Amino acid sequence: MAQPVLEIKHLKLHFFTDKGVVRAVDGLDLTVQKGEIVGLVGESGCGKSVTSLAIMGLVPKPPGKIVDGSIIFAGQDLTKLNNKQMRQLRGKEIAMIFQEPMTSLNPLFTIGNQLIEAIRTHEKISKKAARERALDILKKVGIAREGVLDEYPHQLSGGMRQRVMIAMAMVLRPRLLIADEPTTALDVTIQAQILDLMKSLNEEFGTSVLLITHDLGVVAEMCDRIIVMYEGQVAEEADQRRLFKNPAHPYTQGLLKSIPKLDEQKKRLYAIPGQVPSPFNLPAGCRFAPRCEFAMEICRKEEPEIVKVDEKHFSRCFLNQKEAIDHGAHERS
Amino acid sequence: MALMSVRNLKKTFPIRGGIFGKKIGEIKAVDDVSFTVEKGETLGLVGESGCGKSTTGRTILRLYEPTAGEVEFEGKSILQYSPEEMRKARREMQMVFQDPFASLNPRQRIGKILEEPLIVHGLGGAKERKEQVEELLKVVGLDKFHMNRYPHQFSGGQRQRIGIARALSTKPKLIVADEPVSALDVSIQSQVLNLMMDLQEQFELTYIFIAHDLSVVKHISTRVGVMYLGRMVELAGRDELYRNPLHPYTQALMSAVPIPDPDAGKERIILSGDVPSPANPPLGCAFHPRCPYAMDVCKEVRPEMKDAGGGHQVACHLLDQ
Repeated sequence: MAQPVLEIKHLKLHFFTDKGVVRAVDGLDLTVQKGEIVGLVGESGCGKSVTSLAIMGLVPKPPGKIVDGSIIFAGQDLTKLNNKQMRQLRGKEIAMIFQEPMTSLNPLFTIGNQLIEAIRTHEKISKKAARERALDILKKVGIAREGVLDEYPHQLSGGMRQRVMIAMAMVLRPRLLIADEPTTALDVTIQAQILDLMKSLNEEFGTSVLLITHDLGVVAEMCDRIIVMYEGQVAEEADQRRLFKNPAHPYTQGLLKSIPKLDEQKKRLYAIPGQVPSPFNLPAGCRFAPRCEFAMEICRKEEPEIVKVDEKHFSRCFLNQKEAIDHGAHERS
Repeated sequence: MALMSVRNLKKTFPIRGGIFGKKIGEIKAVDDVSFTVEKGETLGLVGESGCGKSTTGRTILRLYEPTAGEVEFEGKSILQYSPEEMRKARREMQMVFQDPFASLNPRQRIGKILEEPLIVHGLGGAKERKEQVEELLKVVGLDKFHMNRYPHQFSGGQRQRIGIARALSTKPKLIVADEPVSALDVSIQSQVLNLMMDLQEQFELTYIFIAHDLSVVKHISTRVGVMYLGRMVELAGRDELYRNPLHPYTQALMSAVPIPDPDAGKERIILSGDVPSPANPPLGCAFHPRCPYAMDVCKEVRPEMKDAGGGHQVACHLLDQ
């Protein structure tokens, strides 16, 4: 297979605070191939957003520190680059869009001003040419009105602002787009518009997308491959079909059972017992064991390794390990 | 008799501007909404932001004074009540809010927060009240020792349990829950939904459940009303509404919900444009600028709610065709 666009290897990013060490990302492996849409899902505090900030080199250091691992993007290790080198990549090669577009747009400058600045920071072209490019990309994200360039962010609706953010991210044709909860603040009918747009831009430009969200419905519709995170680690990774049809990790199974669905009616929802443990006080052994209905003796003592359960399907669970070992033994005999 | 009946409810907020704060316009947050709530049922109210669902919830409890209309609770018009009478009546109708952190006093211990409604309504002596608070905590799945803790010491899910316990403390008949699970993670969301359904059975509660998430509303409601720009556009029994949505807005809304199943393979209706401003709603049907089936009549005449059969009410001119 061709070289992936992004390859994170065993990344450990810890925060050193007065109260103790938070292992926000703790041994994460993740790859994104060219043109692929990869979903990163998990509940609040699982480390999905910190992962995206680490890729962008935006984690405040201190208190954050990458203690181990590497982030290989286009052949170079991002963890080893200095600020200046990162700045050249950011926006040009890797772009990011955030949940709340109002906080990422500058309220004092017009849309045109901000778009043109983004272009001229990375490319030596005239203001006029940059304005043309800005108009062109705005058309691609579904804003045909030329006047938008002279408007301020507060004059636009939430959906329009998110379109502007996407235009700003895509205008330099980055190789990787990181979208951190891009539609969480939007209404469902607007969300449908934005997801549709992201998918068509992905197809047109071949941009790889790392989509970070808590919404399993969104990943089911958007992603080729999905990574489920729990407490800073990958709990399960699989292609979209396998993850939803045949989830291997009890956490993924629990999540899928606990969401109410439009196309079925249950008397009672499954609820994963307990709550996410405090990051200062992670349980010994498997981090999910205290909430897991299948937890065994070993789960409370040892940390499970991530194992292959099927083609392109990995899970961090002793149950799968046992199955994998049985499977292996069977194959050998 | 319906537990609550709301007729032609209107709530407008003034827009003020200029140096003297003169009224320069108004926002029709709730624009002529009627519905009834039967005892023991859960009426779901769905719609996108700005559709007036939360304002409706607050106006029927008179947390906002209605501009016009009628609200009856157990056959009595509560709009005529004096503030004192209204305070007494609120014992029967309580509210659960979206952000339990903003609605719990950070300087009070949980025991005090839960005891306060009992003091306000003069229910029981000090010892009885303490027993009741302990009982309430148990009912919502918390422990006795939580009484001495402060709100910040709890997780989001636990805080919502406290919010629910507080609403339950006066033994109300009706609870208006405004986006009670929207701020919670999925695994916690299902815990709180299950709790609410258990409590409904145990205490014979009636809910008005306001949310933007159609799947959540479907799960918990017996009847569902869909709102758009201050108006009710469709109201029907849960199964009927989700199986056979008649209003083009309801159809688009439902098709826009992402389904966590790769085989769902449904046809998506993508609406163009945004929700118009409630300060300047379109003439005629409020939905017509975005409606794929809009006709000439839709631009001029506001459609009335009509029964499409079996109590399935819808406000759309297509039905007259």
